[in-house]
Parts: sequence; C-alpha cells; structure tokens
Amino acid sequence: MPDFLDTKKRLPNLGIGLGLRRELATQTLESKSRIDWLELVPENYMGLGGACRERLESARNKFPLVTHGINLSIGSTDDLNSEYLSKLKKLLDLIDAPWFSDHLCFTSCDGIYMHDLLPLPRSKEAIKLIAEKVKRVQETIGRPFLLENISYYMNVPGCEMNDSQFLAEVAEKADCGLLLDVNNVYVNSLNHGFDPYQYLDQIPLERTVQIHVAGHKQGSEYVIDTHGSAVVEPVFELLQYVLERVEAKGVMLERDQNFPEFEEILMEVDRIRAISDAAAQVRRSGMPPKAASAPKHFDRKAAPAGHRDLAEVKHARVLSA
Amino acid sequence: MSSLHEIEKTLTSVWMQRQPIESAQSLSCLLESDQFDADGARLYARLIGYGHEDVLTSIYPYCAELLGNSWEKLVKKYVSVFPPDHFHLNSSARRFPQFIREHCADLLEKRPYLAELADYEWLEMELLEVDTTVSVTERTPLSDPEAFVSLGPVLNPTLAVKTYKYPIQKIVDLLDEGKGSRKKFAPEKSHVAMYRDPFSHRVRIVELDDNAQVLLSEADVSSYGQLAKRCVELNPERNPQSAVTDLIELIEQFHEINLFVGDRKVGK
Repeated sequence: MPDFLDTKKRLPNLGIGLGLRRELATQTLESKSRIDWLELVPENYMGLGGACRERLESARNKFPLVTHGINLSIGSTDDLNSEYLSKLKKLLDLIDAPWFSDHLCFTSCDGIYMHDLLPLPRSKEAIKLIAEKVKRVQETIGRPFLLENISYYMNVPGCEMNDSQFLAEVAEKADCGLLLDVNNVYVNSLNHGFDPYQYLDQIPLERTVQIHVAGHKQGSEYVIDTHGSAVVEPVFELLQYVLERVEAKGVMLERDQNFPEFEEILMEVDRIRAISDAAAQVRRSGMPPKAASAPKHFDRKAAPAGHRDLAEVKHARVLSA
Repeated sequence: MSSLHEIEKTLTSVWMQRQPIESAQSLSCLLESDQFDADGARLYARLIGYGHEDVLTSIYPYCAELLGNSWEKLVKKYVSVFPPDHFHLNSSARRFPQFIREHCADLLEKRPYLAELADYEWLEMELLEVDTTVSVTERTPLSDPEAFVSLGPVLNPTLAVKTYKYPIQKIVDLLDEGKGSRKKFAPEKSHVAMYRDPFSHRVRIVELDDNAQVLLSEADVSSYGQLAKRCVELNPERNPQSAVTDLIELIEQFHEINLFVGDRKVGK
C-alpha cells in the first residue's frame, strides 16, 4: 500500500468548508454554525501584515485552516523557490494545517511568474520532474501535500497522454494526495469532449483528500471556470459520484467573485453537506453506489459557434482573496 | 523532441506576448499533422494580460486615470521590460515607478511628476502589506514637566516620510475631486508622511511643511523637550512660546492619529 494512503487514514475529517475571501471574510468568520473549516490562498498571507494578518488571526482562532497555493509552480522546470517554501512552511506551522495543496500546472518559467494556472505538456518527462519536486516539497514542509486537477483551455504541445492518465501517474509516482476539483472535471469534459465519469474512474480516487466544488460560466466558445456562479446540478452529481466511492477529509465551496447574498453561499454549503452525509451513508451501508449519470454532449463543437468572447473570460484568473 | 523546458519557455514567450504565437509552431514535439492551438494560446495571453492590467490598475489608480486610453499599452510595455519575477502578485507591480523614470521619457515630458506619483502609490501599497506589528502604548501627559524632558515619542514603525519635487498630495486630492487630469503642475517641493493605522489597518497620509518634516525626521532620537528646542531654532522669527505651543498641539495630533504610538524614555 502506498505510504500516502496510510497518511490519509490519519488525517482529520474537517467536514464542509468555504474558501476564505476578503470580500466575504466578516460573514464567513461569523458563520461557524454552518461552515466547518476554511481554505485560504497562502500567497495572500505569507509574510504580510496589517489587515491580512488580522484576518488570518481571526480565522485561525475560529476554524481549522488549510492552504491552497497558486505559485508553487510544481510543473515548472525552474527549481523550487526556497523563499516561497520557507514562507509557506512558516504559515502552515502557524495555522497547523493538516495538509496543504497546489495545482498540477506551471505558473513560472525561467524566473518569470505569469500568475495564472497554465497547462503542462502531459509527458513522462513532466511526470518525473513533478514527482521529484513533490517529494522535496513534502520533505521540506513536513505535511501531507495534495495536487489539484486544473481546468485548461488548450492542449499544449508535447502531450503524450490524456489528463486522467497524467493526473494518475503523477499522484502515484509522487505518492501525494489529490485535491479533486469536480467543477474542473466537468468544465474540461465540456471543453475537450470527454466523459467526466470515465475520467473519475481512471484516476486514483482513493487518494482524494479534499474536494473543490464551484460554479463556471458558459463563454461563447469555451466553458470558463470562473468560481463566480452558482454550482450546477451536474457538478453536484459528480460530487455525489465521488463521495459514494471514497471518503474525502474535506469538501468545500469556492466562490471568488460575482458574490450573491451570503445566505445563497451558505445554502450551497448546506447542499454539499447533505450530499456528503448521504454519500457517507451509502459507503457505510455497503450498498452499491449510484451509477454514472448518462453522459451529456461531450463535444466541444456542440458549444455555440462564433468567435471566442475574450471579454467573458476576463475573470477566469485564480487570484487573490 | 522538444524538452519540457523548451516547451515551457516557448509557451511562456507566447503567452507573455514576447514572441508571436506562430513561433510556437516550430516546436519539434508537434507532429507534422498537428497544429499549435493558436486560439488557445491567444486566450491564455489575454487572460495573463488582463491579470497584469488588473493588478497595475488596482495599485496605481491615479496613474491609470491620468493616462486613460494609453494605460493598457503602458502596462504591456512595463511587463515586457520588467516581467513579473515574484510569486507575490502585487510584487509584480513594484518596479513601475522605476519603469516610468527610466523608460517613459515621452510621458515625463508631458507629466514630469508621473514617476513621483507612481512612487507615492506604490508606497501606499507597501505599507498596507508590510509585516510589521504596530503596538500603541499608554502615554504620559506632556503637561508633566519631567515627562517633557525625559520622554520622546515612539514613531509608528510603518512610518515613511517622502520628499517630492512636485506637490503629489495636491495632485492626488485634485484627481479625487475629478479635477487635475489635464492640469499642468509646476515643481513645488512637498513632504508626505505615510503610515498604517494600527486599528483600521488603512494607510494614513499626512502632508508636512518643511519644519514638520525636519522635526519628524529627528523625533525618534529626541525628547519632547529637544524637539521643542529644535522647533524654536527652526522658527527664529516666531515668538518661542507660541512656536512651542503649536509644536505641543502637533505632537498631540500625531498621537491622536497614531503616527506616534507611545512614549519612550530618553537617556541624558
């Protein structure tokens, strides 16, 4: 049995969480009765004082916290940034995070940071590099590390396999956990024409420690992972599909922009909790989990024709709180 | 086959708009039948470009307002000269004042105060985030003569005092009022004190005259009494008692607005 699965067994079950965002911080911090834990973007707190520090202190006094980074740049051929790792470690030690995560992507090259989550060539060379870097990251930080599947809008040159094979091989070779973003799976399935359930069946779901649930937006040609809309039913269905098969130690809602009334956000958190509770019962009962929903039209050409509307994707960046 | 580094390097150049998208077609890992996804690359280039513009606009709103339609082009030029080199997003904007000074002679000809305005805006950003804890301690009233000679002020540790060749605060105030974007400003030396309030965490800005600037620069090594003496020296034409009264009032104000955050004992 790989080591990480032993590690997973020892991780606490955090329950249902929410991403800590500056705009929603006051209401979030007052909603302990409906939110179990918070995820924060470490780059927004590492080495920063003032309001950021105060928000962090308030959050850690009330909630269990984990971090979800943007700029570890695990897939970059650049060496790991020691300043980044040192500041991240300090933050993780301060909040005593049970685990931490970042994205399976690259964000920098030759020292240039693009501040966006960029798709990698899905190659053996990339897998080897990432596995080595993940091991060094886990050794340096001393806490379990998870990688998240990103949403991507182009297949870059040099791909030797599909996304699920790539994710599976990276997770196995690096022996790390998965942060499974079911909205990203759904968005990618629409943009690149594959069956999201088949995708889930092809990845080592048992490595899933945390799950992200979010909303997206239909652009004129692409579906964009905006974290700025309500979660759609097919994404909840994917969540149910996963949770009936494996236990996740934390499931959370990401809402980063276009904020509705806070109660709407809490209602989505409640919905995630209901799905999670029901799925846990299925797992405990030993009953067969629900079969996959019928695949929809996973054909990119089925999206409305026309030029890509760049204005519509303006807010797709994963940025600061 | 292209190496991983070669692919990442090419994609970075294309996405950062440092090379034309077509240049990626030369990657040897592309099979003969494959085409580089130029549409996808354009999408990422735009997303990354929007990101740069958002960050720069949020940190330099006055510069952005002054430059209007030419702002987007200027941001692109800035990023090409000083590509983001740090994992902290806001840090990617830190060299913008330097960029204006060294690479924008044409803009400075029309608005010679622009580099100083950018410096002012970056300083505000820096102070908002600086990892310094500000503690406010109890004070002894200055009416106690012993305290007046044995104590001096503790400066807010985030305090930065800047001297500009142009009236930067006046320019900012006019822009806030919706005026000033077309106005020309003559050189006029100005001083501003900027610091982060320990309670609201907002940056506060105080305009200083020449004498206040001198007194503030000496405040961290002086007692209140020494500051009073210096104040009299700096105002030879004024009645000493009235100059000291004004200074005491200023000191009280500085404590009230948390520019001074307590008293410290001064050695003899």
